[in-house]
Amino acid sequence: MSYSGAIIMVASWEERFLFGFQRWINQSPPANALMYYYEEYAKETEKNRTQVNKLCEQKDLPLNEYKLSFNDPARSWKVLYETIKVSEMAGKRVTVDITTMPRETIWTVLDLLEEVGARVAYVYQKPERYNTEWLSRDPGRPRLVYKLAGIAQLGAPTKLIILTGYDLDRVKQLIAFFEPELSFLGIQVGDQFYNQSLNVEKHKKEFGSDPGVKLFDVDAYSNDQGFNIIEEQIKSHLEHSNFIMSSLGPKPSAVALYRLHKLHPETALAYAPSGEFNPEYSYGIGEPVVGQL
Amino acid sequence: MDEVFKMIDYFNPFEYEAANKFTVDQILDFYIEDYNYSRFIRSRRNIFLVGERGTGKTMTLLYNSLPVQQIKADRERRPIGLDLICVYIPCNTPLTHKREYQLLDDFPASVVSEHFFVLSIMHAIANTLSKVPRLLEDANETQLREDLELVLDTKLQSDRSFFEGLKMMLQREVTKAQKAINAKTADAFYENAISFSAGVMPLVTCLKKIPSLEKSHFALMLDDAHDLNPHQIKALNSWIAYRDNTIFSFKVATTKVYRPSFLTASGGQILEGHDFTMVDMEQPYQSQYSNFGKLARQVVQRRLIKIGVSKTSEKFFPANPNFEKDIEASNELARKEAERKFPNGTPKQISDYVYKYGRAEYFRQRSTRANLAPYSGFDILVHLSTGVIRNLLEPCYWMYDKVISDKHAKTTEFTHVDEIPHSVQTNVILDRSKRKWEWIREGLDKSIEGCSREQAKQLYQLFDNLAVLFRERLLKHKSEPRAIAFTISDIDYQYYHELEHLLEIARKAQILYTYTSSAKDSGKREIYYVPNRVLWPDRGLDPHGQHARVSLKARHLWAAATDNRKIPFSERDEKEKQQRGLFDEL
Repeated sequence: MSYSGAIIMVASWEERFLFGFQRWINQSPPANALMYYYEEYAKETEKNRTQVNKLCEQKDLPLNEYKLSFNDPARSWKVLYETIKVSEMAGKRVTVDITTMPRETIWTVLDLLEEVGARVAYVYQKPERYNTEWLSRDPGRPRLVYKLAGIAQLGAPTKLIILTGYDLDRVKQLIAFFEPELSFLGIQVGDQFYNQSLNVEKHKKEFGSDPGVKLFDVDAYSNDQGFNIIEEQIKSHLEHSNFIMSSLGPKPSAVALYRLHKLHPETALAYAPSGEFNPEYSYGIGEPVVGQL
Repeated sequence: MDEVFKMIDYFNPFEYEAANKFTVDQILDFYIEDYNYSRFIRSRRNIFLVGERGTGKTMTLLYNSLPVQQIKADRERRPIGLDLICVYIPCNTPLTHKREYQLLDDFPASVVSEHFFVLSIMHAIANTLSKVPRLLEDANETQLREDLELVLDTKLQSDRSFFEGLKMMLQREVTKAQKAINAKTADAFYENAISFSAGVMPLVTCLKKIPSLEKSHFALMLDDAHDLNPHQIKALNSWIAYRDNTIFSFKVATTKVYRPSFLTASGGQILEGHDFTMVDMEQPYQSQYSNFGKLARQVVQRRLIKIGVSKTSEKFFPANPNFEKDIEASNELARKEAERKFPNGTPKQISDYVYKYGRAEYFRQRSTRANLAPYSGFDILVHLSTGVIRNLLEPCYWMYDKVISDKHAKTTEFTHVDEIPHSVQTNVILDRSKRKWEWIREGLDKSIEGCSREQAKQLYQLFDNLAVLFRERLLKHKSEPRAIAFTISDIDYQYYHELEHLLEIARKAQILYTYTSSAKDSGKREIYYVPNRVLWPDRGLDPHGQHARVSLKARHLWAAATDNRKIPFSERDEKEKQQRGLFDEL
């Protein structure tokens, strides 16, 4: 695994955030690093951010740290916009660590990087395991992502694609909020991290006989992050529908949806925020998943 | 079994999906005109239709929309009247949910927001009228096209029909505007935005040159208006404040909890009564004779007709005969008690006494036994709905589903359903009641926006303690044992606002409904809080409420929520409120 150019990441209290950064900086140090953090979790992320700062100092690696806010998404977008614009990434290789990056931020960062002409790669550090009790709660209002909300057709029905994760209630919330004519649920295959019981079985039981929902299998860890299968599901519906897409499953699936949006810019990306994340969200660090945009 | 069952295609007549998923035929088949709000829709007043999900707002708007009325006229072999053109305009759309306006300063944000809103309305008008056959028969289409192109400063495609060309022009315009604001800059704006007075009004003025529309009034029906952004809401309120309702009026459907503000763009406010009429779609169900009771009967009857069942709702959902017998026996006991207490009592006094204590006596006798009452019967279903049609249809749906499933377990040939056995009803009712409590305990903070884990816990404790209080009252209260609604006193309490916020979450979750009624002793209006009656079977309570409410102090409710403290109970309330007559509407 080797990286060069810049690294962009969002700080987290999770072990894999720090371990992942340590891997890079030891194996193939980047030229510079942009570290964002959310002010609502400033305290929780402080220790890891301090460690990242120290590591960067030791390796003489320029690091810029910027604050974002879950409660002020407009300001956060502007921070990302301004900081990426001034970072002179045009034509340069940039690696986006999506491991602990909220999906809305992943999409915005990828979008702004492509806009300035950067050559974008991504990395996702799997954990050793996830907390099996709960991961996030206190759902916020679903929202379309700035500048990635597509081109809506007047009078066309809404259709929804959700790549599911462990949170069945979040899927129900999205469906209840957008009231789509039809929903496509992409369910991650495999039994990694208790996926069968916590994701597959739950969603099939809930939606298996719902005529308003089509289920399909998807593999976010495949070479294309599931892109081809997702596109196959929706392409016959695209012309006469307004598609809203959301990722709740493994983070690489967010990359697939981003690529789908780029190919079909009339589609909209939607984010389902959480008010609270489990302080013990995950444990350890597993294998990385890397890819190019 | 599930696999086999999934392969069987069957029609469940109690589909409770959102009305915008219904076909036109289903809307015409299922909508009950008599007891709904068509008279408001068909007036020239600005109307706000307010009610939580499942109260029938969308159904009411869709039913009255011109395309549905056109099909109705075709079915009845008569021409459609065009005095009133009801245009259905959904607001829960990806276009409405776009948030790029938040990156802009206020003024450009309001301009862009109004532009999208106006284009949506114009497209809906064009789309609606495009479905009226031969509308342009007597019109000078060339002149119409020229006039419209002039007032809107645009060109319509000449190789398309008038309305198709108009829709395409509007789509072209909205695409251009979206592309402009999607540009990756913080201040991306669209210069050629149009306002209501530059878009909708000239369009409608032009359309009224069509002979058939010369005298038409346009009812612009906005569904889910709570999804509009704050700038769009202010714009709408400004249009409502305009109040010349000759040519158009607004019918605005919104939830109660998320009801938009009434502020206008200029900082003023629209006023109920003056600028608009508010219609509350949530109907407190008090008796089978109330409007909601009659509506519920007709709703189910219509659904039964679709599956070829000619039985009444009561016969299709029969009560457990022992349940009915025991209730009747308890009523008889109460009657004898009343005759003993009031030897010269009027028939009303006796019947009021029976009403108050008859059913309570049944539940008091049951309290010594472990099992819950065999809740069943159409009347129970209507009470459980708490005055919300979707809450009525949902258990019916699952009961029907269970009967089909059980029948197919015995034979693979589809058999006709002509009754829901009372045992199935009881099982489904108790199951749904239990699930509702489980959801409050485990799922609220995962599914209700703005509900934290702490608030979810507080709500569970609050409702749990309300259940305990209502149960104690049922078993012991001297005058209003079956009251299952409450009002809140002591509103100066320091945490009253926190309590209000908690109750607002409960309303969002639809575990609590509210309506206003007059407070007899003060003449003012007060808010009645009615917990969703589906909660009560699991706790052995009678969902068949009483025409009464319990006055509870804010401090006691707050303590119940935050500290899990029991709400104080006394066998008599501090003020014995005068009870309404049995069949009075609230």
